[in-house]
Amino acid sequence: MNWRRSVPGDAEFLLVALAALWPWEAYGFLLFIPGLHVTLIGFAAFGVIALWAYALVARWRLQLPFELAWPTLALLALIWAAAALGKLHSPFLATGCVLLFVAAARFGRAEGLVERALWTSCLSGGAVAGATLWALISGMLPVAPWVRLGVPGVDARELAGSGLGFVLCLAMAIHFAFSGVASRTKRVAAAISGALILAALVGVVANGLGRSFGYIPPRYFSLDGLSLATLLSALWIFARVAAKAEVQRRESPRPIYVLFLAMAGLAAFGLAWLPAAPRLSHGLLMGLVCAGVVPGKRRAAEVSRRPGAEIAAVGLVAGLSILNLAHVFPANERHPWNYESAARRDFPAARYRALEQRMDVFERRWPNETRTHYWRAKAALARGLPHRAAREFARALRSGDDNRTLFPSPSDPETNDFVTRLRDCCSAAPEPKRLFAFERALVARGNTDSALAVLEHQTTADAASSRTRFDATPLADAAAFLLGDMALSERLAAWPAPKVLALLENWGATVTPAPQSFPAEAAPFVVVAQLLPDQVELFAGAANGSRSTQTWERPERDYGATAWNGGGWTLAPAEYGETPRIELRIAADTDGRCVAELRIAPDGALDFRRVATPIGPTPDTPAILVLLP
Amino acid sequence: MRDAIEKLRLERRLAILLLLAWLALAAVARVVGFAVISRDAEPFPAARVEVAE
Repeated sequence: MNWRRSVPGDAEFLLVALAALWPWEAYGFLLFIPGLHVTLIGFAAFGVIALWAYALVARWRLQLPFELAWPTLALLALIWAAAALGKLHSPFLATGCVLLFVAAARFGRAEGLVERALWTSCLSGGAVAGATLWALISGMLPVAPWVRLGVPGVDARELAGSGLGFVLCLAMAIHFAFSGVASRTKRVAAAISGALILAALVGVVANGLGRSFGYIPPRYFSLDGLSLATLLSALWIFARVAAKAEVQRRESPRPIYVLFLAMAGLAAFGLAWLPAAPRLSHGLLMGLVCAGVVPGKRRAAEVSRRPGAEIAAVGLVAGLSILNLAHVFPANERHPWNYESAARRDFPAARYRALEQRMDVFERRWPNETRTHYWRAKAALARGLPHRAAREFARALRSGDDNRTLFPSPSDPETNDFVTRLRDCCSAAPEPKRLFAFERALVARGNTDSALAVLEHQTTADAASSRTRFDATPLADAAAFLLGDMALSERLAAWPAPKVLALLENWGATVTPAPQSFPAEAAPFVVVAQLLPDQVELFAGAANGSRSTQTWERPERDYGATAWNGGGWTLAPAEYGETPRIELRIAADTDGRCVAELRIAPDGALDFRRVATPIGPTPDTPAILVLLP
Repeated sequence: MRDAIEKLRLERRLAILLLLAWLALAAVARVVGFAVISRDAEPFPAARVEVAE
């Protein structure tokens, strides 16, 4: 490779590409490169740093003024010392920032390259501002940086980072529009870009301020010694570059030096107030400013000789954006639709409420999504709610239709692991017989024979009920309803009637003789009510063949829960007049008021009516009422 | 040569001044930021979440 002809030109091209890409950091998820697990911004930065390392090895010259070289080396040493002591969470990013600064300071010293890079950033910032304004107006989730991972608010660090980026681009736009260094066309383009950036900045800040969370003013004065030394090293480099710009401005009052000083001042002011995390763009911009203010002879820029590469780069950006909008890669953690990676963080941290609310957001947007229910099931199991876990597990395994989903259904190892954990949870319960969650999960997975064998083994009819004779069909229907597969009804009805009754009794059924006024042909009569965070499910079955199932959506979801055997909700017959009724009451929820009632018409028809909306915590066990003849 | 050394000295003085000015600004931001801007760090509001469709 010929050093003089190849490396500087490649590095300059990558620097201009980075200058175009950095304003898109808030939308970095669109530029994610599958397989490499980095964004195009990170990849280009790595390219610049690799070329710098090659140049360093080939020529053994740092090409950085001594007064900047020693604090840079000290900063690198301090970063890794802090990382070794566990005081810095992202040493690679911090190192990347520093190395990008050094590389940009070296390769940016070509004639007119810094101006060209900043002009590219100005236009790119205008494009980002346009996209953001469109996102604000249309409310589209994929391009709104403040709707991240389903969180309905703005992470203060994201807001600070995006806001600072817009402010810096605005300074560039003002420079190119009003300083007289650009042609008329460029001035007009810069003015349009600046107007878009200003509008987007106002829009983002106005939308974000009322909804931001996690704002903690920077704690620069409570840092430990090592972290403070690291910060001061970085600040010293920053101050030294700004001072160079001021000295250069005093010597030759070119407008570009005013822009450099404005950028340094805005960044310094912003970083004093806002908790912005280090970004690659910080290193890049500081390196470009450094390249612009370090005195000395500049070589001719070579970047303009690569039109083919520019077209390829634009094609790559467009291709990656389309790919990442069409498909969510699990490793693309910053993708706002990647609930999988968010759940993987929420679950070990026991943030179950956040996890459930996040899944709400995605299920409203993608109703066919099944994997959200898998995470709900895991959360419910971790909270000791086996019935809810089994119910969500069944939803996770339902076959999705042809509509697109973000993530696939749980895999076989995942379902096996879940069922094993559910079995262990049920076995460890104080009254394992009362739980049918494990059997329900087996049914959902298609292991119907195993589920029925377990139930048959657990259930023994007592002698008293064995003497009575009645039709077991409504009881079998109720059991099949609770197990989540009505096709099981026929096989359960083949059991002896007392055994089916014993099964429902195991599950907490209230068994009572039907009152005198109750239609004789309707008994045995079964009513089942299941309350879920998002739904109320009701079933009623009579011996005369009448059946009714109802599902009501709960408008206000509540992810609280009572214990697995939590009582407080009952099904009971109410005054038998001309129309017999059965009332569902939830004591802990509506102060014992009736929530729903079932009316039995003279012709035997069953009619569920909603009386009040259940709110508040959800019991994990169903309510079952059996009226025997 | 003398000019270059003078420029470096001027740069150093300016850098020290800028550093001190920034530290003073950060101290003000620390106090005022906590008093004025600090908010609850809970990302999920108690009410049902809303999302743009």
